[in-house]
Amino acid sequence: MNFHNSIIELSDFVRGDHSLDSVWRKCSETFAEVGIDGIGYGIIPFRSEVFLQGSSNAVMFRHSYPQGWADDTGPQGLLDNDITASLLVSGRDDMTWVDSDDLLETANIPTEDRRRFATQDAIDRAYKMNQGVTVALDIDNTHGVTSGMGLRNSTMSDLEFVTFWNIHRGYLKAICSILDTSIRKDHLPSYVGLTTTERDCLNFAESGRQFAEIEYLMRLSEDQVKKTFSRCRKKLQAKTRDHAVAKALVLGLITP
Amino acid sequence: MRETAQHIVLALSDSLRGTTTSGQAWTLCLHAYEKLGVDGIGYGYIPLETEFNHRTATDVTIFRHSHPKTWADAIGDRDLLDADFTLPPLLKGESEIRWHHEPAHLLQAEIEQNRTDYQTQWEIDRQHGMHVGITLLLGRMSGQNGLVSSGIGLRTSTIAEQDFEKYWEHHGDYLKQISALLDAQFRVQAPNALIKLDQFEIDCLNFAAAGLYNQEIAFRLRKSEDQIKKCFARSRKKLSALTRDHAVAKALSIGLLAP
Repeated sequence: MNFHNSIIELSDFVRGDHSLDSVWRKCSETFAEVGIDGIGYGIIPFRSEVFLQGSSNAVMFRHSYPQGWADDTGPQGLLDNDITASLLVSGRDDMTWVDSDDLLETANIPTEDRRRFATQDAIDRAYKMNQGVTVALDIDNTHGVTSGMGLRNSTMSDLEFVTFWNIHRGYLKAICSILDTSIRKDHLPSYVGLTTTERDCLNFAESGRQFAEIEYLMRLSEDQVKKTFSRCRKKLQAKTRDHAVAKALVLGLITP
Repeated sequence: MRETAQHIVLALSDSLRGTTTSGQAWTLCLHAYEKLGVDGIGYGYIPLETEFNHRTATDVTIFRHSHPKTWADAIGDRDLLDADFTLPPLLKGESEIRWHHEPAHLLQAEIEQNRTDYQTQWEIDRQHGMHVGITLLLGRMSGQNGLVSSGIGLRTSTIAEQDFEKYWEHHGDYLKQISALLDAQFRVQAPNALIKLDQFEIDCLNFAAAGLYNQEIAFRLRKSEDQIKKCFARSRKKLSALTRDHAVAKALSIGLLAP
């Protein structure tokens, strides 16, 4: 097997003019060649949010894990019950999922809080989501944007996966960074999915315009502006308008 | 002479590394300028360019100066930069603008309607010994968040108009180096030195950027909701921001927050 060529081919592919979906698909295929059959990718605009609002709110996440697993876990638990997400922003490098007790120990989770993690562990095992690894991708020290990936394998035993990871770590991480760079550099707007109207409204809010001004400038009704902002909040996973503006700004979706 | 000037620059860069307070850094820079014949400076940068569409130059610029108080009073603190004739060419990317050239030569068509304002300010400048000097473009820093521009005005009132070119030839490079040191200090190293937010205000803005409601911020910081609101009002004022979104965005792009 020559993974080297696959990686070169992949990096050529993402440099071409492709949509986010096709880049995602191509990366998944390359991962599959090596033996990874499920991936999750997340961007964290503000690290502190993980501790203030929970991982699921803080991470802009996209995955190709089994649908049944995602449904059983529930949208909120997807990352809140994933201890590796908060360990990642605390500065931990790669973590295999095999020994979850050890991870809980590292994260200083009190014994009484471990119940939900135990439940999650059972769900994970039912869908064979217990073999995998979380990879730390990039930490931007000025703005604190972090991203990370989860890689899953459903066929190996614990021990096999650890050996597999030790052998293929380099290749897998190379594919991870290709996907990461491509999303952050070229596909962030479509990853978040803001429309032009939404971006304009955020830009106006950022530069200090009042609601009435935005309505006038955009030729929209009060109601339409409010709805636009609530769509922005939803897409950016933001709780308040400040929050949405701040996130859009650090992600480079609006200009300062 | 050349060596001394070089020595001044090196000494400044050494001592800036050891400074603890912002006031100290500013004084050190002023001393260095003074030794090379500059007797007043005005430094400013623009954190959010989008504001420019609907606000005045003074509102959008973080500005600090050591020019005569009488000059500032004559123009008014809220309008210091609005009719500064060196600003429009600076924003267009011109790197050196001499003060003693009559503004009419420099004015572009689009500011024609404000011509009298510029003319008036130019005359005020002359009355207060602000007629010899130079405005420098310092930096267009393109980071992840786009462009942030900064510039500085150097006043050399002791030098006669006709001698300025000769003076600039000797000292220009060193003055540019000092200005670059000052720019790095107040925009990158210690941006809060010009804004002066206190820790409480920074905490509030950080929590706002991370999406907390006023109530939650009040709980976390063990303050009343009223105190939080007042804190945001103070931050808005210090950042010369119109809304809370605006204050958060501005503080973020200046680099005061690390959520």
